[in-house]
Amino acid sequence: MRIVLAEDSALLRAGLAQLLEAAGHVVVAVSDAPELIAACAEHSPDLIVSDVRMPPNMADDGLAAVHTIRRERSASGEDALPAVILSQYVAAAYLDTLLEHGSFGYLLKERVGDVRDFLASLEAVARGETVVDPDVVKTLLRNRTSGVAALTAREQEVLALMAEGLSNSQISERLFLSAGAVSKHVAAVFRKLGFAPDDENRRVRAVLEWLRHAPGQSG
Amino acid sequence: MDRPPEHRARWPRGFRHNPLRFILAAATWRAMAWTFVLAVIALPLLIASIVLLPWLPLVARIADELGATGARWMGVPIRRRRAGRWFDWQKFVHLACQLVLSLLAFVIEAIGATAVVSLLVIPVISLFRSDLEFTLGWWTTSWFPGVLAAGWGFAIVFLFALAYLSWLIAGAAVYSTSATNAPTREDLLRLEESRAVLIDAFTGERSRIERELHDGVQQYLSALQLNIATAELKAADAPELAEPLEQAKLNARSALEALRQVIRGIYPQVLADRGLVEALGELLAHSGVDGELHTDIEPGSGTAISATPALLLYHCAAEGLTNAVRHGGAERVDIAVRFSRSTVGIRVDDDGAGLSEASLDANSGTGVAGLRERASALGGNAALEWSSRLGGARLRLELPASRELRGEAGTTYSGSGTAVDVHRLEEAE
Repeated sequence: MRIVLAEDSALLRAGLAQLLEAAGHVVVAVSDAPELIAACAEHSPDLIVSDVRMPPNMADDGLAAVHTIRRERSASGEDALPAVILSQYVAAAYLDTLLEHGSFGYLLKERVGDVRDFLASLEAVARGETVVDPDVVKTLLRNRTSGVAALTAREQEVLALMAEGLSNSQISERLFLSAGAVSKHVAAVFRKLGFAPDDENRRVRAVLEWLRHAPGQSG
Repeated sequence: MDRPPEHRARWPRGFRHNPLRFILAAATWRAMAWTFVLAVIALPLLIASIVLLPWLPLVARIADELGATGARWMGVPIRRRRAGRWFDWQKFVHLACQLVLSLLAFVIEAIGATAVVSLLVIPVISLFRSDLEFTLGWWTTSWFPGVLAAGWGFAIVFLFALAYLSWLIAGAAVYSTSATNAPTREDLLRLEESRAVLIDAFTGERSRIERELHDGVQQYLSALQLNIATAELKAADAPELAEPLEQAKLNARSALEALRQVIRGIYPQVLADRGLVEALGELLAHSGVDGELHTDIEPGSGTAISATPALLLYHCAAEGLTNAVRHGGAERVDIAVRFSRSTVGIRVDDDGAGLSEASLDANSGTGVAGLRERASALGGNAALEWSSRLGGARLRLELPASRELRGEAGTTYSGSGTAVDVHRLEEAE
C-alpha cells in the first residue's frame, strides 16, 4: 500500500522506510508536521505512520497534524484515513485524540523491532481495525479483572461502537436509540467496568477494555 | 523526621553548680590555663596592635588563629567562615574582644594569682620568721597555726574566685571567636541561593544528558533494530541467516530496553512533555506492582510546576516504588499527588514489610537522604514513615508550590515545611 511516513530523526526515517519498502509498500517519507499535511494532500495514502514529536515545535506536532488530516477527512464525508502513531511512551491523552475518528493504531516505538507484528498491525489498521499496543492497554488497565463479560448485549454493542470512535450522538443514530438511552448505556458500561465518574480517560479505558476482551483486536 | 541542624554550642561546657565539683573539673583547669595564656599575651598583643596598626588585618588574623586554638582547647570546635576573607568587621570585633578579655585576664591574674601564691607562701615563711606578724583587719597574730589557717583559707577563697573568673574570661573569649566566625545572614542567604542554583543546574544537566542519550545512542540503536528487521525480511529465503539475525535482534532490543531504563531514571521524556501526573502514571505502569495514582488538586491551584520540583517529585515516586518492590516485597503501591496553593506534595504508600531500622536511618546514604537534601534545598522536606493507609512504608515529600514562597529574605528553612494534610485526601477517596 501507499504509506506516508513522518519521522524527524533521519536515522529512524531511513530505517523505517527501508523496512516498509522491503515489505513491499510504497513509502513517502517526510520529516515534519507541515510536510506531513502536504504529503497527505498530494499522495492520498492508504495509511499514515507518524511519530508524535516532531518539528516545528518538537511537542506533539505529529499527532496534531494527523488529527487535523483525519478531522478534515471525516468532515468531507469520506472514510477515515487510517493512521498509526508511534509513541515514545504511554500517554492516555494521545489515545483520546485518536479515538475520535476510529481506525487507528497506537504503538510504542520499541514495538517496531518485532517486524512481523509491526507489519501485521499496519495492515490491520489499514483494513479499518484499531490496534493499541499491548503495553499501553496493560498500563491503562492495570491488573483489573475484565468487566466486559458482565455487560449486556446492548451495552457491548454500544462499547464496540465507542471503540470505533463514534460519539454518543453517532451511536444513537446507528442503533436507533434515544440520546438518553445511549448515555444511560454508556454510564452503565463505565460503572460495570469500574471507572469512577471523575476519570478523565474512562472512555479510552472502556475502549481498551473492549479491545483487550475482543479477540484479534489489539497489538 | 526533619530535625533542624543542631544548635552549635558557643560557650564551653563543663560548668558545675557544686563549687567543689567545679574546682575539680578538668574544664575549669583548662579555663584557668587558657586565661593564664591570655594574660601572658595581653601586653604583647596590645603593643603589636598599636605598633603594627597599619597591619591590623595581620594582627586580627593572628588573634583569630589564637582564638580558634583556645576554643579547640576548651572543646568548642570552630567552623571557619569562608576562606579568603582577609579582613572584615567581624575580625576587627574579634580582635577588640580578645584584647579587652586578655587585658582583663592580665589584671585578674596579676591580682588573683599573686594573692593566691603569696597567701600560700606566707605561712611557710612564718615558720622560719617567728617575728612575722600576720594582720587581718583588727586581728593580728604570729601564732603559726593561726597564720597557716588564715593564709591557706584565704588562698582557697581566692583560688575559687580565680577559677570562676577564669571560667568567665575563657568562656567569653571562646564565645567571641565562635560568634565572629558564625556565618552571617548574608552568608546564609548566599548559601541558600547557591543551593537553589546548584539544584537547578543539576536538573538542566540531567535533561541535557537525557537529550544526548536520546538523540544519540537511542537513535542509533533504534535504527539498528530496523536494519536487522529489514535484513530479516530480505533473508526470508535464507534459513541459515535466521538464527544470527534473531540473536542480533534480541541484543538490540535488550540494549534499547536497558537504555530506556537509564533514561527513565535520569529525566523521563514524558515528564518534560506531558507533566508530572502522566509521568507518574507511566512510572507506576512500569513498576510491575499493583497500584493507583490519586491526584488531588485544591481549587485555585494549578498543576503547573517548574522542572526542578517536578523532577524531584518524580524521583521521590521512583524511590518509593523501588523501596517498596526491592526492599519491602510490596504487592501494592499507591501514589498520591496533591497540589495546593502553598505546597505540592507526593505520598507513596506500600503494603510491604514496612520500615526496617536501616531504612529509617536517614544517614545511611540511601535515596531517602538524598531526596531530603534536595527537598530542603527547595525549602521543602521529605520523610520515610509508617503507612497508615496500606500498613507498609510511606515515603512523602512536600515542596513549596513556588520558589517565591521560600520565605522573606534572610529567613532560612530548616525543613519545617507544612506537612500536606492527607486526611482530606483519604476522605475524598
